[in-house]
Amino acid sequence: MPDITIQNLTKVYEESGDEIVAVDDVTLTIADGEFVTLVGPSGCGKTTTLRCVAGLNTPTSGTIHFGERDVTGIPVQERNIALLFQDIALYPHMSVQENMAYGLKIAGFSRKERIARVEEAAGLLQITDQLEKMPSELSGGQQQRVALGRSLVRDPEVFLFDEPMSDLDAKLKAELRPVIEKVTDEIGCPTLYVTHDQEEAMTMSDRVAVINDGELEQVAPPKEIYDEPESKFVSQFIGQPSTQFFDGRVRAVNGRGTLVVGDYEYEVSDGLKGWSGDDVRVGLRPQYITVSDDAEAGIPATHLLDEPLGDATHSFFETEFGEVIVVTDPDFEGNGGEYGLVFQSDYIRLFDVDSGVRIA
Amino acid sequence: MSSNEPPGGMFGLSYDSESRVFEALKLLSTAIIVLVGVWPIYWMIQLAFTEYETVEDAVTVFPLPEIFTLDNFAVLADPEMYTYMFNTVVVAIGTIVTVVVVSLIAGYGLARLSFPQKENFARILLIGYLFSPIVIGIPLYQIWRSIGLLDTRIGLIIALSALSMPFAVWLMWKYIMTIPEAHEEAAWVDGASRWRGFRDVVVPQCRPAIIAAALFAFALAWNDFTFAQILLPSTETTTFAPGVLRAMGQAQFLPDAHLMAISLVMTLPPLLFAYFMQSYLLKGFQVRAL
Amino acid sequence: MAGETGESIRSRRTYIPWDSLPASRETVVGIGTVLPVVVLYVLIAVFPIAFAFWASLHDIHTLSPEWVWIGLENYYEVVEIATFWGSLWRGVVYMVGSTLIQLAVGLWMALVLNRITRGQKLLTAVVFTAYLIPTIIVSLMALRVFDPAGGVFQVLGAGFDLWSATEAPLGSRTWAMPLLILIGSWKFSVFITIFTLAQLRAIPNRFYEAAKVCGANRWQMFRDITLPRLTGIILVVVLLRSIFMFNKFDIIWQLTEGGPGDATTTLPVLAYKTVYTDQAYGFANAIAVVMFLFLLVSAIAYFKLFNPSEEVETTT
Repeated sequence: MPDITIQNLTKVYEESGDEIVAVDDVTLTIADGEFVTLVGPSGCGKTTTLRCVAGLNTPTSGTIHFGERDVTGIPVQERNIALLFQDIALYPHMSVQENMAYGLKIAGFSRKERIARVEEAAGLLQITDQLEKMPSELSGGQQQRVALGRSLVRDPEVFLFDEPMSDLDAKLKAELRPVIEKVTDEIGCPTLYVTHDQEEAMTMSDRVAVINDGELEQVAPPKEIYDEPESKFVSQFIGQPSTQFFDGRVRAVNGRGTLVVGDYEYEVSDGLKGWSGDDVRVGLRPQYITVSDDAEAGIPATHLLDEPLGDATHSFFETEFGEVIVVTDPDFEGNGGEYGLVFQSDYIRLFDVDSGVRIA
Repeated sequence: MSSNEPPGGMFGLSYDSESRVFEALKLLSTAIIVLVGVWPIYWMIQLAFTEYETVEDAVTVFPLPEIFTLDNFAVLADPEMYTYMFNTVVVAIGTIVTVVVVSLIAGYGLARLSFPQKENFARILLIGYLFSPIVIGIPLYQIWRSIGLLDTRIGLIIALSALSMPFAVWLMWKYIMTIPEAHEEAAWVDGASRWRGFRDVVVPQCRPAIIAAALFAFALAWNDFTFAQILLPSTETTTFAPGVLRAMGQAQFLPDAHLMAISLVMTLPPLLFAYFMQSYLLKGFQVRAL
Repeated sequence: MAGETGESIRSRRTYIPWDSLPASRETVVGIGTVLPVVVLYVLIAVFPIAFAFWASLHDIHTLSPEWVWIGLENYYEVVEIATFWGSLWRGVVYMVGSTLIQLAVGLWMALVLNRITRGQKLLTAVVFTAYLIPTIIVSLMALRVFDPAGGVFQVLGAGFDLWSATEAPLGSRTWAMPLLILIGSWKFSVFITIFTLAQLRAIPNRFYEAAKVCGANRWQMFRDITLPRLTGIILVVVLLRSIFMFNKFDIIWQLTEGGPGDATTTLPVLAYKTVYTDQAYGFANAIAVVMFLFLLVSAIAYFKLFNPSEEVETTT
């Protein structure tokens, strides 16, 4: 099956005379069998991008190829794609069986073949006993399985997901994620999955594409996105609780760049010489901040409250840089005392103050 | 907003006795509605089963066994009456079909496609409520005569359909807008053309709106007197309402009891529709279709 | 212009050269969907009204095809004759009287139907039937029950000394108009009930629960929750009912033919009589045009004053 190549995709909307750039020059390739997640906050252009790939929106400029075939101007009906919608969009007046067979019916498959294919897909999705029901009789998770089945039976060239799980609760999401992975593996075609939920993006993808304000910020495997974010936005958007930021400054001492945050200095990599004397944004994941009982040992912080989660506690502190969240020991109880926040300097990431681009 | 008012129920009653007063008023109202609503219909029914000679002599409240009869319904076999009723049924069905098909397509276009002057079109549509059968009928009489539609059922169907349009099109438009676009897009993804998606996905979901529009068109066609009176002047083609009125003016023998019998038959379809389809009707009207 | 690029892509089923048309495909299809409605409107409204105006400038005998140009003379005559002003006045009385009764009764029925718990479906059906039942049947029933020969209402009314035992109330100058208003209201109040009932059913119960928590009584709940929700739809149905009642011809013609004398001759009846009794087709068209203008002006004034279109366009 072919790969998806999105080249310089731009989509501009006209709204009451104003031009709104929803997607700005996005270029992305999804290899055959690859699962790529497009993640970003609401209104960032991720759904528009997906709808352009699907053929439901027409791009203002740029091209989309499925393999060698230029599909930019081809109507959605002729693209042979599967698409899972945010509101699931099962046909409410058709039974589960009819829902799943509708695409085959249009393609002109015989009744016998339709039933055979639907039953096969239903078996894989464990909904064989639901086939006679109407969509309204199903739970949200089951409906999503049917929608998956509808795509599965058609053996599409390209698989697209438009925030399919955003209306489900956390437990169902966790239950459905492996089902989605199973189905996409089964079909083995390129998959573009759009979501605003970074957890979904991290858990399911081969690669994650973070999009903000219509522009791609970074495309990389989940681990790399998490550990080596290329911008402040990516660092902040990926990971829960999100990266904490501090104001810092780089100073050259003995030919080495040293990072200064408040009264404390941290050794950072050699590449920082050129930045001597500049202000920087310092980002550090809450897991890599240690709370010391000694208020002198690190950045002074007043404890505000604890959110015990069982396996860890999220503790909130007031510092000169604003509120800071730290992932602490499950038994930690701050009791409103004074503490010092100590950074694990290996995990410090520095970003340009203005552009947010990663420096080190 | 009501913080200045003294606490408690209406008229200074406690909430409890307010509820009792309310229940009593409700019961009384229901009784009045039943009485006023049902009474004329009951009267029609009982006269339809009363021997016609006795109707004009004295008021009878119940069809006593000695004057009870089914003979009045023999009037249905009268070839003239039969023609009138047949014409009414044809016109009603023709109007319903025309109205539903035309309004579904137009409503879909308004809801899903963008084209210039769309909003203005919808507004102009509302002027249709101003079309009075008498104002339109008088000039239409000559126009239909010159193009050969006078005295044809088609001519009446066209006129009645146009009259139903403002309501039906707005209803369909608003109703289709409540159907998620994703349903249709899912059909397109499945390979369905726009027309196929409309037919397979949109139309079946419009059932309440279709029934509401059909009922409205039915009421209009079943009710119509003015257009039929003007546009179907000859006796062979005319519908029930003008037909029966003309028959009353001309016939030597047409007792009221016979008229009640035939009225009862003509009332049954609306009564059945009102009973079995009221939920669709209300659902259809709920989308603010005016 | 874009024809060359479009061809290769959609060669499979291209019957219509969309790409070389001056408008986009969506525009063409979109206009196509509303075209049947436009045709109906042109046929049933634009043509007749234009024709009526043209005919009103002529002296035409109903049954003869000869048209004699007389300019605006028909209109001078319309505003001069007393029957026109008399009919207009009676029409306004009929319209205002029946609309007010229908509004009160229709609203009341909707509120009751919305609240009763037992027999709701049956009662709703009975009420709806009144609207769906053909006008002619209402008229036949009314003629029967007000008939001096064994009509139950005639007998009842005579018992209360409203009229004598041998008098036909529908043929009396005193009673014809009030009875027409009442009989019309019996049938058409339901129109208001249908629309307000649909609206009432759409009010979520939690509003009332919230009001109860705040200690509101039933009147306060009606005033603060129900009524504001209904005002929009009430303005619209009052407008529609007024238009419909002003135009009402069938029930009047069937019950009284505008009589006795001209006691119930409203403008539609006058126009009809002018065509068929006076055989003055051109003059009747002049009356029709005046009626249409009258309606148009009042509708525009109403929209300007109350702006019910806000209600109409909430979801556009």
